[in-house]
Amino acid sequence: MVSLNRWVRHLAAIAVMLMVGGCAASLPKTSKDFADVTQEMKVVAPMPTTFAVKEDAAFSSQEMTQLTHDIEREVDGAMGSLVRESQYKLSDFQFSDSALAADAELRTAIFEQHQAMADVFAKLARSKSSTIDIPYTASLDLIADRTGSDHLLFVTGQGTFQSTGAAVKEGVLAGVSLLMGGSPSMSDPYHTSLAAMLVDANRGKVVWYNQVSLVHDPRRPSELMITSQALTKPLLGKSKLTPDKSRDNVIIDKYHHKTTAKK
Amino acid sequence: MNAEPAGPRRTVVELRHEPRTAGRVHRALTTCALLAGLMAAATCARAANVQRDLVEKGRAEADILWRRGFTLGDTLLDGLLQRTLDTLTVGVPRPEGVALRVHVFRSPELNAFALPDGSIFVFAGLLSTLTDFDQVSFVLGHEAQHALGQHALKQMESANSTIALIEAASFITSLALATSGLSNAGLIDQFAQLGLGLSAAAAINGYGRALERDADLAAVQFLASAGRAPCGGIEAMQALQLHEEHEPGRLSNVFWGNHPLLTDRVRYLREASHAGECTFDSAHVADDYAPHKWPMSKLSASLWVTQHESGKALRLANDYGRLFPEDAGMLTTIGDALAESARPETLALAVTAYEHARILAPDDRAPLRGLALVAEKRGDSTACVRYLERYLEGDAPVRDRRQFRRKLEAFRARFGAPALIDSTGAGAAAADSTASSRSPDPRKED
Repeated sequence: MVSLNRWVRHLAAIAVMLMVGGCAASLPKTSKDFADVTQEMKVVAPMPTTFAVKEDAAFSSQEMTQLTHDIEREVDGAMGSLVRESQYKLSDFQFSDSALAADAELRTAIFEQHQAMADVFAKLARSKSSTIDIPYTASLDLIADRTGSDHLLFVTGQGTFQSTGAAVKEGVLAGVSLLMGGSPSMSDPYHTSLAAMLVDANRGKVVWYNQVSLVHDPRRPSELMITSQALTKPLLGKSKLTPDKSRDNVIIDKYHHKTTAKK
Repeated sequence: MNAEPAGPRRTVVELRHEPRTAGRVHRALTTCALLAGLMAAATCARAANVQRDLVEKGRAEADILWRRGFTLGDTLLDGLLQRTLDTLTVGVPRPEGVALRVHVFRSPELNAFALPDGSIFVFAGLLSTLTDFDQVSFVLGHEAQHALGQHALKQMESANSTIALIEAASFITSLALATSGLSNAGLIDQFAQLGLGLSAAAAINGYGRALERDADLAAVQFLASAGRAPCGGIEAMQALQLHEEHEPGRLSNVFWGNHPLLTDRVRYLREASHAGECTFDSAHVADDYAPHKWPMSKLSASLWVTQHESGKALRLANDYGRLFPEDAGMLTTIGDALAESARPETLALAVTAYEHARILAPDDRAPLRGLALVAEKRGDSTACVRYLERYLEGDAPVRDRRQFRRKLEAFRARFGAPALIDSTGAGAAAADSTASSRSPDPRKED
């Protein structure tokens, strides 16, 4: 019986190692011809980031859409800096509001990418291997023309942060749990997840995919930069850029100033 | 769609059953009561700002939808809908920050929604289903009332209060059962939590249904004051009924439905509008609405194709095709929908649709793209190459040209096919003859 237990423990340990190793091996995912792609790739165009941010309040959680665009712009900025720092050239094109307003065709082209992205994510969810063969169904020609790049980097993400009320509630519940002799469990106060896929417009397929999830505050630009660096490291190489912490309260203050100004 | 019911979040507290825990329970409950009081006070203090926050969020969300291309941006149609909306709501006071703005949403679904800032989004699919401006006016009036009546605020406040109450009840129930010493306390707790969850869902969705009814009845008033036909609302609901795959059961709607059942909506709209016989007739399209309805049908059909919903695309295309059998664009969409299939007979129908489109619009290259893809699917590489050559001829800015150019080069490298693109259009003639003779796949010759 004792030896059986030992074997069970060994097997469990091996299973955990395989799971962890398997997960580590399956990211980033690349297409079979990824080496050829990197040879051909000269200019990279990061597409406008799509990000969803939620605040976990004491009794509910709510989308914080008013923060979304600021966060997306920070991630866009980080991606731009990281591509510029890498061996690749950054596309000059800016997906600014004025550029979008002046170009209805471009907005239609951007819209078309949503269904294609949904298809890709559905296929990625089923993919266990680190080698992928996922066609990209939307047309990329117009975006490739505008950006002057055949290699488009799509970035999507989500983040959460806790409200003061939620933090107090968790603290109190943990205290009560301790008082009662139970084992308290505290969730992370915030997290940021980013996923990126590189799509080759010539091949019409996804050639690289990676995702990271870190215990970082999605409202802090320096933490978004660190998450972006971790995300793109396998594609663009290790970044030497130092995240700028001096702007960390820009988004938080903007939101809170607006709230206080209304009172 | 998020299927998770709105209910209390479970709080797990592991307990040891000891007599001295009674004192701790008392202390814990007192702490909880104090905490709840503090939170209630804080909530009240913030209440004044909630509506402004919602308006700000609504505006931000509308901007996001615009940036991501979800709004169609058809200035003519948007302008027409805006004028209709303005007429409906003239003289109705706007809450602070609310400005009613209507947009067409690029989706083939039958839906519409409003954001707290007054941005109203009517889906292309809904516009393609309705048949006159009275029905459209009802939809606009309904959505306008959501913004004007501050329904998002009311729903949020109601849901928050319900969730807070249910969470407190959940916590107290768990605590009481855990300290009760009952042998099956865990099981009872599970049932209690389920009951609380269902109660929360029923309360939250029940309030949502009441707000929907309010919006429906307000829209009836808007129609009346704007001199619109009172049948608009009833017929809009009947149009939705026609397309509803199956109506949810009355009981399940109590817990999970955030809208009243369509049969109920038709009934109370009939009572409120004092309309006589109103029957939605999909075949009868008002003359002034037809120029706006059919482009929406065409758009919706192509959107269904991109969502791999070929059946829905073909249903729309058939209705459209009865009126406009000579529309090459729609024939290409029909071809695209059929080409999603792997069945040889369906692919043959796709080819027929593409060929018909080519006859009607010889300069339109889109059918050639479809023909190339069908040929590839059939393993007919020669025909695929020739259609691609014709499609890419003259370096025209056609869809997927980068990808198809690469595909063409790969075919040539593989099979050693000579360049067939020339300025005289000989490639086109070759494509036509090759497609009809259905050449064998060179790969098979290998």
